[in-house]
Amino acid sequence: MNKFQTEHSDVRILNQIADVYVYILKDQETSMEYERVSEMVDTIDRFSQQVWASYALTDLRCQLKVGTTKMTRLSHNDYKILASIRHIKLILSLTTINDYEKDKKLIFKSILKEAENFATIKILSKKSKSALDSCLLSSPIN
Amino acid sequence: MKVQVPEVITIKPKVTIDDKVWKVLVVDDRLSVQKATSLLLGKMSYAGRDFKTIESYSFTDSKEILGENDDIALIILDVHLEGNDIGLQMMHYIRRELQNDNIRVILRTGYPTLFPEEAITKMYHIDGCLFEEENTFSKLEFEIIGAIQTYRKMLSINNYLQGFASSVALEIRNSLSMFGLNFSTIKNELFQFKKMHPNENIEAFADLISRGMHICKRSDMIVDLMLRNIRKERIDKKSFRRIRMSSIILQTIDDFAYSSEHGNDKFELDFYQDFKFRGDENSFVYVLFNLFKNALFYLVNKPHGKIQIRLERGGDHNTLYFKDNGVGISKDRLSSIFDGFRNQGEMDNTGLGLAFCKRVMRDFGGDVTCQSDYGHWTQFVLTFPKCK
Repeated sequence: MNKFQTEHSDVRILNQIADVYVYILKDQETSMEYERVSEMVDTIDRFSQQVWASYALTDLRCQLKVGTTKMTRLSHNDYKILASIRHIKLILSLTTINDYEKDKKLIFKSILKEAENFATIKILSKKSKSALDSCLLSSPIN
Repeated sequence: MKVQVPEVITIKPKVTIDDKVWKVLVVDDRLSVQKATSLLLGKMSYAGRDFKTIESYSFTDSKEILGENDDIALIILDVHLEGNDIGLQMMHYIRRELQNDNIRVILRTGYPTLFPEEAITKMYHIDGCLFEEENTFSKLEFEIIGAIQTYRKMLSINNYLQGFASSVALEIRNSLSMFGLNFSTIKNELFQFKKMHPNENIEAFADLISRGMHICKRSDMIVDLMLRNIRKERIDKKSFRRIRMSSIILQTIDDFAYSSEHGNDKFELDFYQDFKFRGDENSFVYVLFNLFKNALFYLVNKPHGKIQIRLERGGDHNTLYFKDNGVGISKDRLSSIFDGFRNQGEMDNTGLGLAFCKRVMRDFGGDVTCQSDYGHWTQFVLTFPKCK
């Protein structure tokens, strides 16, 4: 995997994450259900893991210092945004269905915030960014 | 599984002290991180104690919380908070400014910074690193319990040390007071002898007795200060008074010459800009003792070894420069010489001396810093607020 391939693959995966966020935002009624939201968050987390794995692989293959590709492709802030979905996943895994029913609006709002932050990632394609932005404009967070 | 959200303490209102819980300070500007950590800690317990989360979203808030709570067991610190070097700044504040070696720290990291975690870990005793992208429930739990176990062990070692030091101090003080009493009796006897034999020359003998009494008194004071040092107690400001710098230096050099094999021939004094400062006399004598002891350790075999002490009055503060032409301190050691339990290899040194000097100077409202040219000289710069 060379540098070009990494660039290509991380943008592609980020676009897929953006698609999941768009899906959540478009169908909020269904997306707010516990099982549905867990599934979506899990999918985003899996995609982000693929991004980390591709960076690690590039470092290894190009004999770069660990973290070099990550630092080249993502700013410090973008890194934090992409890694943040893990914490939503942790929150969901530590919350029972009953507790989720009480807190679901708050948790869902956190996910919308994540989506809003995600739209600011610099290497995200323009197409995905504008799709996400237009959904965000009509979401309750705004 | 019933998940209890722990009570979250924010900076206002004032945090209460509670010794039935393990307090964990979570320093992170992301709400999702705070919430996830709180949830996890809410369902954890260790050694019969629950966990209590204290949230902090900035370095400034964290400093305030740490200043108010000396019983925080663990900090989970986002090294990327606010800026690239915040992890380094925060650790510097905890270990160097607050001189808190007990508090355990787990770094939340993952992105390469100017100051790699490895370097911070070596410099400031970090307990673990959590990589953001690998963060899982069990990893976090594992790291937290490990850090709390270390904290608990450190507290029990400190308690043991303090208890041990107190018993040793008591024994030494009893002996010192016996010596003092005997010296006093001999002095009275000498006085009576002189009355009966006015032509006998007993002055040299009387002088020795006076020196002995003086050393007993000074040693008792040093035992007291060492105890305070081990307990990391602050100096009671009620004991502060205005002290003339030149007088206390001369007096300490005299005392030092009494209590060690070194004479005062190695000192070069420049008191042209003498000043007064507000502080505790005994504590400052101990600061000077430490500086003398450290400097002379390396000067003892150097025929042209000198200690230069220069006083300087300034606009905002006054300064004492203490310079020796000993072996100097290497750059890598220079940054940690004021940490507890560090020394340059002196066999009889606990390494507590300079950490104590730092605390004393801070309690006076000033500071002490060190500069050195390795192989040539070392200079301690002691600053004092202007005496009103």
